[in-house]
Parts: sequence; C-alpha cells; structure tokens
Amino acid sequence: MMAQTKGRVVVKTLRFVVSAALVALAASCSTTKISAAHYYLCIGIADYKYASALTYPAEDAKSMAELLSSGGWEIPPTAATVPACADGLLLNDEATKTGIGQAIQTCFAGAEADSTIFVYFSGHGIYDDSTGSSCMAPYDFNWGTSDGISPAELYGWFASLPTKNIIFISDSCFSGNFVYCTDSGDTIPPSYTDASGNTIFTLPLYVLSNFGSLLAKNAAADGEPAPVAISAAGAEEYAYDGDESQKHGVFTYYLLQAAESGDSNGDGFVTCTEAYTYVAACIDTYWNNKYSVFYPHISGGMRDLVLFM
Amino acid sequence: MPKKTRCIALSLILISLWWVAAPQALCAEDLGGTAAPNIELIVSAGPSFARTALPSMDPGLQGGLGGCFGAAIRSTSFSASPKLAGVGTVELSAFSFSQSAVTSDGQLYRAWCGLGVELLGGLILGPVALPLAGVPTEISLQAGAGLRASEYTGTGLVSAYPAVLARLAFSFAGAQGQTWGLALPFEYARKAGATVLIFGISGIWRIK
Repeated sequence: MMAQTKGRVVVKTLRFVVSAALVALAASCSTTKISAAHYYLCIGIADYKYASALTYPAEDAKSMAELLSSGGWEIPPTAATVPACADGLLLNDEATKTGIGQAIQTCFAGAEADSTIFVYFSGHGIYDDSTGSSCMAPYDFNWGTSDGISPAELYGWFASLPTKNIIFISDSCFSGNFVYCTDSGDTIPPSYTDASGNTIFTLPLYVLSNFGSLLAKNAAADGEPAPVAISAAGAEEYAYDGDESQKHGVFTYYLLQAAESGDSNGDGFVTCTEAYTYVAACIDTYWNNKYSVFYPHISGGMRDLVLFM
Repeated sequence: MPKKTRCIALSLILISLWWVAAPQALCAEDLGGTAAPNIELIVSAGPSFARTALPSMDPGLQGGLGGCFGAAIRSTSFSASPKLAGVGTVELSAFSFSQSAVTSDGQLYRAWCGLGVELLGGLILGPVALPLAGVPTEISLQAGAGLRASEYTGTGLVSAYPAVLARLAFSFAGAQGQTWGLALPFEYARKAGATVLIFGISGIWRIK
C-alpha cells in the first residue's frame, strides 16, 4: 500500500516536471509582430581610386539592399538629403570616406528612437602590422594613416545616431577589429585555423585559462546597448571573393542564404546570432575545407537584434 | 522596499515556516534517519525559466533546461532532534536557455548555455506529514553560491560570472536508500550587465 502511494507520488512528480517543461517550451516559442521601423544603408566598393579592384562588393551591396527591401527594411528617413545614398546604397566612387561618414550621420538623423539601423559594408579592409589595428578602405583610400575608416571613427558616428539598435556587418579583410567583445571572451582566434574550431572542449579550456579576466569583464559590463557587429573574418585574416557560381563575397553569399535558411528556431525571424551561426557553419563546412581558411566573428552582449523578418 | 525591511520580512517568513513545520516533524513517521553523517549522490534535472533584464530593455523570459550532479553530506550531530539535519552540497551543473521572444522593436535576449560549480548549505527537516504529499516528506532549504561559465549559443563568445543560489526541495523516501523528489531552484546573477533571475522545477533523485 505504502509502495503504491510512493509510486503515485513519483508519477505525479514526473508529470509535473514534464508539464512545466512544455510550458517553458511554449513560452520560449511565442512570437511578436515587429512594429518599429528598420532602415538600411549598404556600401559596396569594387572599383577603387587607388587600391586594386575587387570583383563582387558592389553586387554584394545591391543584393543585400534588395533582400532587405523585400523583407520590410526601408531606405533611411532623411536619405534624400544625401543624393548619393537616396536609394539606401553607396556604391564605388560614391563611397568616399567623407561620403560614408556623411551618409551614416545624415541619412539616419531622422530615425526614431526605437528603430533599427543596419549598415553593411563590402570592400577592402586594411591591417597595420605595426599597430595591430585595421580599418575599412573607402573609395578614396590611398594608404595614408587617416585615409581609412577606423573602428573608433565608425563607432563615433554610430554614437551620434538617435537609436541604439544598430547592426553593422562588414564583408572585408581584417574586419574582426570592428567586433567588440567587452563583456565576454571570443574563443575564435583572430587568425582561425582548422584546429581552433568550437568544440566541446573549447568552452571549459578557454574559461579555465581566462577565468579571472572573464569575471573582471563581466563585473565591468554596464549593460548599455552596443551595436551588434558581425565581421566576415578575424582581425588578422583575409576575407574572400567567391567563385563564379557564387558571384558574391563568400561571406555575403551565405549571409544572403541565411535570410531563407538561417531561422534555426522556426520563430519566423532570423536574428543576427542565427545569421552568424548559419554563415559561420557554411563557411567552415563548404569553404574552409577547400580554400584559404577564415571564420566570421560576432560581438558580445546579452542583447540581439532581428536581421531578417 | 528598503533592504532592511526585506531582510526582516524574509526572516519572519522563515521563522513562520519553521514554526508550522516543526511540530509536524515531531509526530511524523520515522523513515530511518541517522545521527551519523552520511553522503548522498544527487542527480536533478528539469525545466527552468530565466527572467533577463538589461537596463535599456524590457525584461524577457527565456525557457530552458537545467540539471546538476553532485554529492551532499548530511549530519544531525548538531541537532537535538533527529528530524533536523544540516546538509552541505557540492554540485556540477549544466544549463541551457533559448532566446527570448522578439519585442516589437526587434530586440531580444540571446540564447545561452553553460556549466557551473556550486556550493550549498542548509537544513533538512523531516520526514514530516505534508497535507498534499500523502507520504512522509523531507523538506530541505539550502542556499549558497556558484560560479558559472556560459556561452552564447551558436557563437564562440564565453563569459564567467558568480551566482547566488537557493533551493527548496521536497523528497520522498524510496527503496534501498533512494529518494525521489521535487526541487524549486532559484538563482540570481549579474551577467553581462543584465540582471538574471532563474527559477525552475527539478526532479531530484538521491541515493545514499
């Protein structure tokens, strides 16, 4: 009799736990309609005034703008005040350093506080061995120290915008320096090799060897919203134009695919993290096995933003 | 509510619980508690919720799963009553939380998962006759702290943070030194500038 009662208690307990698990699952799968505005600016530079030409960046920017436009993203509210980017695109000779800075600071000036801004860049990235710093190369880049757009300059422009919901994606060499991880550590090294994959051992080993600094970073984090940044490559890596079948930069080719195939939890949205995960897995599986190795990076923080709706 | 008032309120609740539960403990059926310290292996798992809140965002609810494996040592040597035991637990835990729902402006909290180690200490009362359980039940209340290492799911980004833990558990004696039960774990942490409150329901299995 006592054993039967205990059995019933165990069964009741298990039922309760399973029911709670289902409630948890349902709660995490609920979806919302996004009502706030989303604005984009896509920059693609294939033909440079001084530097060597690239093959696909202009196509990258056009395809990205087309995809965003079809998915509910809009041209910036005050884009008309900067004629070069009235269509949300800055291509080739339109994308000088002054032009890019003006476009970012002016086109988005009328954005609402709850809107999301997306800036995409495809073009050359330059790395300075002596300082370990890198920059984006605008159309008029001529190898001078102040010709490029440094991470500090770019984030300074972002800081002047009326919204904190900012996504920045760069398909360029050495773009990892534009990805900040102030509150966490990045286990993907700036120069990726086949041996440095994200395995089951990566987390414990990295954490054990960097535990103090990770705790310090966490303690210093203030939770202020920072731009969500994704780079095609690490701070010490090249990113590559794709082959004839891809007709895009390798990273952008898979990023465009992520709009269709990157929704890993099936909630109808592809977040920046989902897109990143999809692109990184594709590059590692399909590209890194055949050609020169590189690996995308993403910025840290608890917050994520929807990229494809 | 001021901190002092909260402390007083919590103390009163704990004293009330003790005042209500203790008399029942003294008249409940003895399931064979022992005065000598003994060691138990513990396994628990169940669903969890994380209420995550950044200063700049509305709070989000993240559903997930958590589980732990560890060892507990209990002793009644300090207590006049065999129904009251002290317990100390060391555990390794694993957890995973999905991303939160998307807000109307397109923001959300990232999914994360990780591992932890925790130390808990507290009291076990019982067995007592709880009205709803139907069988003699042990009640344990433990509190402690842990260290967590977590990763944003799908990325290579890792972080580490301390956490404050508490756990209320109800367990029912089974055959051959086994105990089955239900636990209500609670955790508070500051993770990447966000306040994270985790609460859940876990099934517990223990063996001496």
